[in-house]
Amino acid sequence: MKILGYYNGHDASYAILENGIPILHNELERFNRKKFTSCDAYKWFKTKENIDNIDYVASAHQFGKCRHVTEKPFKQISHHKAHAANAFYSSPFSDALILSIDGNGWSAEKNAEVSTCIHRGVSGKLLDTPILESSSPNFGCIWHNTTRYVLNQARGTEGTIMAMAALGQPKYCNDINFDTDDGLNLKKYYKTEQDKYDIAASLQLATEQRVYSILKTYISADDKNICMTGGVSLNCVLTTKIYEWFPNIENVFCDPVPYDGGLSLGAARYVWHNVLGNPKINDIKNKISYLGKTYSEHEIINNIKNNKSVIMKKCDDDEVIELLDKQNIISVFGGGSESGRRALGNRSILADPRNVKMKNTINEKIKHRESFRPFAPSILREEVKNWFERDIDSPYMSFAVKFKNNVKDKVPAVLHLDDTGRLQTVTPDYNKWYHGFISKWFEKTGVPILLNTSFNDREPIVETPEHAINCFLGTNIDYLYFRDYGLIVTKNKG
Amino acid sequence: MKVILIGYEGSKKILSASSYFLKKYLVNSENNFDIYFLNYGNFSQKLFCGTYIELDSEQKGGADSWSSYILNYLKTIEDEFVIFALDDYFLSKSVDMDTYNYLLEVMKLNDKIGCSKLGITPACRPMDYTILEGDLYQLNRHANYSVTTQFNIWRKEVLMDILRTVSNPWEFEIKGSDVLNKTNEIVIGSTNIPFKYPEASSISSRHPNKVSVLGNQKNDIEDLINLGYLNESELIMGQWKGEVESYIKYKDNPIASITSNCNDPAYYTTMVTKCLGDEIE
Repeated sequence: MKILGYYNGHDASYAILENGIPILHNELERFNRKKFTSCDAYKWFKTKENIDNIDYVASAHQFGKCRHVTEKPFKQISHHKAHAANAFYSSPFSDALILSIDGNGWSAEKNAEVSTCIHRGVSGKLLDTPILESSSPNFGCIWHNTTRYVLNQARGTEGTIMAMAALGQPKYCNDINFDTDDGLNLKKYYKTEQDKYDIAASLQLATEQRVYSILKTYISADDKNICMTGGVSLNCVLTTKIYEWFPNIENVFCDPVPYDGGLSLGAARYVWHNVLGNPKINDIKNKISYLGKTYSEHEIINNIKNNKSVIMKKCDDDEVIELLDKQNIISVFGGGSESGRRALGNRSILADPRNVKMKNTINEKIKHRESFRPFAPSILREEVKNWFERDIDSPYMSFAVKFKNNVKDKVPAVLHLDDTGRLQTVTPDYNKWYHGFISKWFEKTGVPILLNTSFNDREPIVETPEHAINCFLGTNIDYLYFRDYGLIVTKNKG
Repeated sequence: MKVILIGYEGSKKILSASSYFLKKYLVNSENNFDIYFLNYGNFSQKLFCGTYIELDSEQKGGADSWSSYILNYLKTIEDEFVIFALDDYFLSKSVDMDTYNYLLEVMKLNDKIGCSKLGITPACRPMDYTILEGDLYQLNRHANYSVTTQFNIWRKEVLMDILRTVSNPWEFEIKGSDVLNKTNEIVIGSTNIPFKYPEASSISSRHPNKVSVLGNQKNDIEDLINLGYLNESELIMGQWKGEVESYIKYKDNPIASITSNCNDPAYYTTMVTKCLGDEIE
């Protein structure tokens, strides 16, 4: 049985579940190359796929009159319920408290916009009635306004503000009222360059304090597991703090697509489990987030041959390891693209984390962004305990954990100013190729970590071979490795 | 470019007329304007151009749901820029495409510009702007009515950010202006006004069942009367508080209809002159 989920609005997307397991997730931004764009996602789906192959359609609810699909059985799911469903049903837990925090989303049950919501998952089922459903605090709104209008950053770069927080003092934390502010009041503090870091630090701390307060109210002594979802849970500093705040919490799971791009998945999951009554699926396939299309060798070679600016030759992983060791920066393209904001080895730029200059080089010459912006370490899961202070799973780069003191200087390119790294833990069942590749790197260098950043330059992550070649040509990346087919591409300087 | 015109049950009576003016003065085969009339329930009258979008069977929640319905619609379109306005402004002249295209290009080149004014008032009253170059102006940071329901080009995401902070059209203009002014978004416009139309809307609760045509050309009005889309007996010259004159009495001399009853005769005279230009001289 196939279920289509879709969501209009910013980060529009559609997803298909087959017997409850996601097999496709397309986000509009990957195709139109514009971040945060919206569309009529059902219409978009029908331009790319065949509705005849679908048995059930689900969408995340929006205010007012919404399309009622009549060709197939159809269900609309409230915004935060869809978020909660994606988080809980992709988590490994049977029981969990699920916190969903973002800007507004429509609740059909409450007949209102809601920004903070708590659900419970019990015995493998998401309970229908939330235990908290409120329009306040609206973390998403304040983060957006501060990012866009106070600190003059591009839309959707809240992660930059989070990174900036490490360079500031939270001087204005007590001036932030999540229940009454719109975030624009912080503008009065922005007079010098240092102020923007202090504003960022203030917003970060105020957010942490308020989230702590909410969780403290609703976590019971029996709770062991927390799921985090909603766009604000992309804040990996915040999600990591939950472990410190609540020692009885054993596991924190972050939705791999916690922002609105995941609502299509969540709506479809809700239908499969809650409407159709199917049990929770603990198969690893249910957790894999490489849900984009895998491109054929023919498609890739055609794209390369059609572009006179690149030269192709055969290559294997061992040769690429050598190139990395020689301080080349390599973009990797293979398998299906990652769902979500993080490149996890299939559309990634890789580099040597041991090189103290590498962070500045990539920030300046490839990503064209501020020098303080950190890069993520991809680490073999079995090595986490030797490198980080907390031995946790983080397959989707959801947590920022401190490096151990005795090893942190070995990987300066992935060490943030507060000694943390937003780690991706890599296992063979999530990404067999990537685990094998890092293992080879480990054998050669003694370091089980690679610097991993998304394959893009101020645009959405590349989706197609054509996007990959264009991004490669537009930046100072040294090589482009189509790893599924052992092809490496260089720039034709002739 | 999508031109999104929002209405309500009461504005349906002038939708045909509104589309007539848009067809005559804005939409033609050489430009790419797509008109969308957003409203509630059915509409079976003639539209000279554009598409009628039924947002809902009725406006649930009354005026305070105004912004939610618009937001919901804007979520379904990909466009980076839209023209957004109420549906009851009657264009008086052909749009100056050179100026319009120039303003749009300036917006595309500078992503700090959230909105571009297209109408008369910001350029003529209270002139709270700074000239950047030639005809191009930037609205001053604390200018009143930086946000209005008049014809404006909007960066869609900025428009949506404003709509998220307000409920109804009045809040949109007052609170929305306050919100926009607190942001760093720049509002621009041209003193060479691209969209000429009487900015007092054609319908208002001040004069129920009446339709103002002050500032519109007589031949257009007569055409619409003959076609049955305007009722001559309902036509008035202005939408200010208090008494307004009838179209029948002043159809040949619209300036003379701007009497001392009007709260700002000088402004309305300027507006009508801008709208009708040579036609009234």
